[in-house]
Amino acid sequence: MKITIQENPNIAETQIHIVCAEMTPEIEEIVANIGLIGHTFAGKKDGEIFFIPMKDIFYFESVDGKVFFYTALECYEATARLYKIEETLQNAKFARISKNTIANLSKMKSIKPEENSRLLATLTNGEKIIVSRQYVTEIKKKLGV
Amino acid sequence: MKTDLKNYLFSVMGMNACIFFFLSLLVPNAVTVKLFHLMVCVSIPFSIFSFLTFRYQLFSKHIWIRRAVVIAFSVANILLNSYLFGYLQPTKKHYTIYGIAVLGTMLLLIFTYYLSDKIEKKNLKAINQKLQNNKD
Repeated sequence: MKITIQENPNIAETQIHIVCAEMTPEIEEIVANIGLIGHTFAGKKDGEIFFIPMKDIFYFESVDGKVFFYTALECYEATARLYKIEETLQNAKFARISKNTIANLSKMKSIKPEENSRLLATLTNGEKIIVSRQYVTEIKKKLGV
Repeated sequence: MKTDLKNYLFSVMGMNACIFFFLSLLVPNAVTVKLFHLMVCVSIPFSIFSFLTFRYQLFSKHIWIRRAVVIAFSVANILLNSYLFGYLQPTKKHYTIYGIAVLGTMLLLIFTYYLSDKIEKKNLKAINQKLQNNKD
């Protein structure tokens, strides 16, 4: 892999171009890591890669070995693994709420127990997601309770 | 589910091993490997049933009904194990003792559930307060 850096004091915004024969898992990981530096997350949708700001993400969810993240209206497939995302978000208002889910606490309205003893978190867009009891302590820590 | 069940069973077996160990210190002549084997054979099916009751809501979705089932199983577990150890004699004195032990166990379990509910309510109240403050 050849890495070329061109310094140009005239450009306003740093751009990163990746030239490759085809998109491989290795390239995807590079893209994901670049996104993480800018507090955005790289997500795939309809064959395109988008960089979504962290503040717009409601939650990340791992399903069948793939990680998806959800904004108010859209769903993207993340290019990073869930554990990597969790590491990056250590200092952010995101907390792991179950084995497969990391939620944005600033997008959470409330957490309530259900009759059948499950805990349900209601998000600001009205969606409800399950919170696992063993992660309540972590949520408390993140909120500073 | 498999991992959860496996972990749960290991915990149950570990607990049984500890009980067996302490019993063997208190009454070494009465405790044998055969009795330990019988004890485990009784505890594990009860434990699996308790686990499934909670996990798959076998009897009811309502939490207190499931807890009641688990309490009933725990009490039956204690009585059956006592019988296997030969301590469940059909005399008035023994029935009284075991009645008190069963009642005590039930009250202890109910109190534990009540306490854990109270703590959870407190935690959730604090969390929801903080989430509300973050919105404002």
